[in-house]
Amino acid sequence: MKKFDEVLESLHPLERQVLKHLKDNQTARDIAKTSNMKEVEVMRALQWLETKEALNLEQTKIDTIDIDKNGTDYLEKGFPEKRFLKAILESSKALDKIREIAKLDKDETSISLGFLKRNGFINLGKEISLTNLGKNYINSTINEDFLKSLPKEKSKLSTNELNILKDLQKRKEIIKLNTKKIYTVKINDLGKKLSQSKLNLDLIDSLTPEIIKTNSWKDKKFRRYDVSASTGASYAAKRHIVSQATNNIRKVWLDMGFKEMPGPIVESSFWNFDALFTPQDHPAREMHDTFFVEGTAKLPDKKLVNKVKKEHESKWNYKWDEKIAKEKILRTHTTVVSAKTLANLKDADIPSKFFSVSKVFRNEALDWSHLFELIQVEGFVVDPNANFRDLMGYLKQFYKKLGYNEDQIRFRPGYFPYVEPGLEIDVFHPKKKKWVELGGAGILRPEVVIPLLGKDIPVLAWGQGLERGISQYYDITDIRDLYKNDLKQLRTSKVWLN
Amino acid sequence: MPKITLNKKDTLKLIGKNISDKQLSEAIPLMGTDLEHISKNEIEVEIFPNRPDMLSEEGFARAMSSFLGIKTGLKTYKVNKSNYKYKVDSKVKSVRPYCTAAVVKGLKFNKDSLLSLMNLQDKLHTTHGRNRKKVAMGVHDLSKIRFPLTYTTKPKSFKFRALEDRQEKTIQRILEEHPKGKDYAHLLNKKEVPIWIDAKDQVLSMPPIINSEETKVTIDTKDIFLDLTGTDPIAIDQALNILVTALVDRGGKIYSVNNTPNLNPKKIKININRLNKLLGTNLAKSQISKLASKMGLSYSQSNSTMLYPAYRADILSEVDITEDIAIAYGYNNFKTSLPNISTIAEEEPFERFKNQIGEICIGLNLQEVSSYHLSNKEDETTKMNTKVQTVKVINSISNEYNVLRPWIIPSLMNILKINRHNEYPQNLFEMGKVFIRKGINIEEPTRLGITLCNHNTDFTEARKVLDAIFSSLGLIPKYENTEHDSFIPGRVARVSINNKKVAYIGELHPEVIKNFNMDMPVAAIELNLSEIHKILN
Repeated sequence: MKKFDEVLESLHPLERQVLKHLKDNQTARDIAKTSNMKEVEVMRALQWLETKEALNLEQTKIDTIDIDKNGTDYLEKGFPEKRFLKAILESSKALDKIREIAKLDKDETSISLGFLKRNGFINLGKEISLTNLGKNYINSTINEDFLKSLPKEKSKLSTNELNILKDLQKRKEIIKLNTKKIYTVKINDLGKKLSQSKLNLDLIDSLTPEIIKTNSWKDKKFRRYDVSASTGASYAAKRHIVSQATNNIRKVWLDMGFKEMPGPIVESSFWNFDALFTPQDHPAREMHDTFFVEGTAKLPDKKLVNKVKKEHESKWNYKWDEKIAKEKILRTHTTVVSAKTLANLKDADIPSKFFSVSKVFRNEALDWSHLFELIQVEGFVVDPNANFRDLMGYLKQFYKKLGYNEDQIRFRPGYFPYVEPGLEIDVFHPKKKKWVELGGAGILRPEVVIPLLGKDIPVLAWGQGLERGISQYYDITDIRDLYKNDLKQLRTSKVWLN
Repeated sequence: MPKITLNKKDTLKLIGKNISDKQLSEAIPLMGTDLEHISKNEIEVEIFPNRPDMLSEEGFARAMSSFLGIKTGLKTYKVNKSNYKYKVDSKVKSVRPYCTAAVVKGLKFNKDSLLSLMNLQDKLHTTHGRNRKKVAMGVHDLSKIRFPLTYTTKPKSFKFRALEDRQEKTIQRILEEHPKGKDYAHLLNKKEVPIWIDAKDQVLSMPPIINSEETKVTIDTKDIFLDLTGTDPIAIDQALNILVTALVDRGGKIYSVNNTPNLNPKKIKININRLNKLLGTNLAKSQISKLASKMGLSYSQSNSTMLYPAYRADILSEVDITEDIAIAYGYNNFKTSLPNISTIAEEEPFERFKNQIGEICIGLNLQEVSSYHLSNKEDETTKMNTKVQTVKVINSISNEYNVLRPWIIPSLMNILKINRHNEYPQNLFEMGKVFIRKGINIEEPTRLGITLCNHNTDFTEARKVLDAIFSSLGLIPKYENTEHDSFIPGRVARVSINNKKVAYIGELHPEVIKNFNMDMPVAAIELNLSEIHKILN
């Protein structure tokens, strides 16, 4: 135990004030009354005294229920499901119309539909119709009456009221539960001794410019602080976890002498697919994989377009259609950025190495393992002497820099229409103890390189997803959490320390 | 990529050796196939789309057997001459121009092998055949057909009994009522439809939709006739070759119809030096020869030619052979290397600028957030109480994400909305692209959005933040009154630098705040970073 004097000297003015009025078995409210202090101040002082082991606080809980945001809103405008029912009564039967009359937004519509269906208040068919149960329900005011009677202590509710509460609690923000904790003081020996001590010591509490200027500290003692006591939280603003990861990867490529390439998100099918030797009837180009954007795109200069067309027609044996090439899309991979960069290279630029870390788009439904916006790590090396072993070398170096050991990286055959030979990169997941596929790579086919570059030079190229790696780093199992932007998660997450 | 489930017992029998699951699971990925899993009775794999010949037990086993060194080398297939003939009516040209056919005899089907043939057809239809548009095929019991046949067209009033139907129906009705008719009717949009018909006017099939019930293959069928039609003559030949070679692997004998199939191996010239240079290897001709035979190819050393089987649909150039050699060599046997070439690293200047802005924002204690580029009109306009032009995504499967965002603030509002239960102040920023239509082009400037949100947030606080950013960049902003329906009148400014409009700043209107189900004041800034970057350079 700390020395009694030290404890005495560490007492905060609030603690001293409380100690003067402290009696066993009192609550914070009692002390506030006798000491003429605010209840929060008393509470704070009591908690400090508890950490100093001068007393114990015994806790009892009282639950009160009160009306919440949506509850207030519904009392004013009517519950959404009732508005829904009334709209049907006003002779509208189509959902859109009901939504409009009842002034329901997306969420409210789905809540109402679910609720009404579950309870058999409506029949869903080509038209929505009201059941007898539904008609009765319109006039019931049980929920409304209950909400108006709030706030109430939970322990004082009738069985009937408890049932209403149970139903309303299933729904968002109609009811809120406030738990009030009441603390009773159990004083001990140290506490008693402190309360009987001379408490009006002349200690310096906060150091002020005045005190420093006048030297008044010289013949006084400073109040001692409890340096181990926890304080309130303070958050360091940070870059978003995806930005941190992106910058980390960018730095690795920059370390390896690569140049960053920019490019737009809205692209033409020509650059995204045709220039990459993906035939126009290829399944990847279909509606369910690619986002199409309204409008038509401009094609690059005719010479290039004709060269690409020729490769398609002679090798894939079909009639190449300029109209399809002109479709506007959201890029499905950043390999399109590589293709455009290649097309702009001059002889003097070779050899060179490029990378980009940016968003690509896939027309998929969001779920725990799928996003429709993903970050792709893209890179290529154009070098007359480059070969397949170099491709593996660059990739291995990259993954080593990300912290994988040599024996945790493996290559196996892979297929992409624009590379040959192609490969897939797996890395070993140390926690799951299995190989995880991280990306694809290969040497661009001459059918891609010759039209873009004017000659056949080896171009080593790769593309990898970034999200899987970030999820692993942050132990995220639902990939959507990466873009959920929950501030609690962002504020308390560690920074990228790779 | 097509996933297929192979019958394990059947596959191992075709491979010709009993191989352990462990060996199989090691060899399958190395051969160039994604292994999903191996169970007691099944092997599930994902076949790369360039290898339709591996879409069945027969083709997969053939490749595997060769790769494992059990039955290596180029496999040759004999085509027996026959008098089976068909005529092609010129009317098919405008409907479904190309056709080919073959006969295979002496088959002994059982439940597994019949199912395997049906599955192979099915997979070829969806992948290589591009959902039957490019290639469609029909299999018929030869004993139920009288030669010569005709590939012709018929009007939609013509009747026949489609597979699984109880009686004859008009083509019109088949297209409207038969499940396959409903699925594929869109592929036949001309007045007349293609029909294979025999010497006694018995219909065989209406490609690419359905066969006739009368020529159906059953487990007792010994000899079959195959019809293939499509829009690409090379692709239909490839599909035919894949089918007939699979049937030969089951003990069948091929008989020609007209002059097909042609199963002579195909040739491609190979430059060994170029191949070695691309792989970074130093393989002698004899080694190439050995590796080639592991992939079912045959290398002729004397004239530097690679012979490959007629069922391979993926050989377009020398590089396709190069990959086969690499696979045979084993990807895990390549010694990786890192070339010592001098290149200068270079960060994209705008990315560097964005990071500098990010640093300033962090210094101002703003937390960065990151949202999607895709949004919806309700969030971007209605809820923001304003009209902004949005760029539509035509085919999004989600109504919540069907426009490209025209500004950043709505994204931030949605984030504030979901964080109502978290501690305040919530001061956020996001940098990202927004999409603005300019004539036929879509511009993608990068904007910085900032929202400050606390019980006492006001214009002054936001103004201090924006001023701090400008002064960190050495820029002097001019603030002017403006009107913007998302903000409180009189508390919103247009900000310009050298007379260039670069930002909005203001207190959001309570109605907007309520639209996002919040009750906390929000001050917001939207700054065009692309424009600022231009001004600074």
